[in-house]
Amino acid sequence: MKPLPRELMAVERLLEEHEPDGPSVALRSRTLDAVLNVLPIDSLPEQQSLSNDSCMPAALDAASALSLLGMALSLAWVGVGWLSFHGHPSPASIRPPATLQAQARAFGMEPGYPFLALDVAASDTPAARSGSKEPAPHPHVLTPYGIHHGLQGNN
Amino acid sequence: MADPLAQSLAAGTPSAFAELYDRFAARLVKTARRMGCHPAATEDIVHDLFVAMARSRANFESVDNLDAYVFTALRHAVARHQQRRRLEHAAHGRLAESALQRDDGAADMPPSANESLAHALASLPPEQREAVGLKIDGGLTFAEIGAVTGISPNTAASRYRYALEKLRILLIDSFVNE
Repeated sequence: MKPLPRELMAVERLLEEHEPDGPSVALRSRTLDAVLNVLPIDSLPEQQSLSNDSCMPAALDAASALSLLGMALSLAWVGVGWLSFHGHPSPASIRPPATLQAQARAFGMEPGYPFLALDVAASDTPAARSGSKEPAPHPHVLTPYGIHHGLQGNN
Repeated sequence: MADPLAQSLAAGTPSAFAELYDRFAARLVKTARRMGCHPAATEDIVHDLFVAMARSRANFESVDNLDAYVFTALRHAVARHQQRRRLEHAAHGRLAESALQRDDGAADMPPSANESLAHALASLPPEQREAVGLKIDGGLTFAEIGAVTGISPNTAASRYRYALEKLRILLIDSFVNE
């Protein structure tokens, strides 16, 4: 391509000197906001991603988890000690539901009565300690509604 | 070799679109204004152009020359805008005539300081005015102008040269008449 003659270079310079105005400052944010609305969410910057906002913070690491586990074990140990101090049986006396259903029938409850599987009565009464087959006079049964004393009397 | 920015754009990376804006927005606005778009409409054209490119970001995968791709998109956007303006002109008749002349002309220049240049540019054939805008304001090479407009680089160079010659004559005439 031949170089431009001088008179045409002068016109070119004139055009360069009188260039049109550029975009306004506001156009940048307006345009990029609109572009962000078009892009998929998973391509947003990491600091804006939902994953980092909703998941467990990184600060809660293994050390924190261990300390939480230790606190839970301590609370369990205190609970067992409190039960032992008040003469209640250890959690080892938790029975399978079949046994408890039989005992519930012995207490005069309906077979379908929705009780929970924790009986603290039969294994720790004077009768039980003496080897008697008689049911406890005042059993304690933990139900969904709290500890019930003397369920036979409720019937 | 493909532009690495094009790959980030195809992936939809927001920072890549910010970089694209910073690299092209000013040149696009100036080129569109030189091609005869009204200053107020030019920003909307460029805004919509970036949104359209974000929507069809998958096309960036196959882009080798980002400049040619973006300015081709601008050329199509400007053509659509001017087509709409012509239709509006036809619909509204003489009431819109003066507005269309401003839009097709060089109302982007202050009337006092650049009036002669504005009138001279407005009188150029559209393809020559386009060549001036893409070369001076877009900063494209003749090869890129050829790719954008679908002509050979030599033809692009010829259009540009003819445009300058016509401008020179028109400007001399205007100075003589003054």
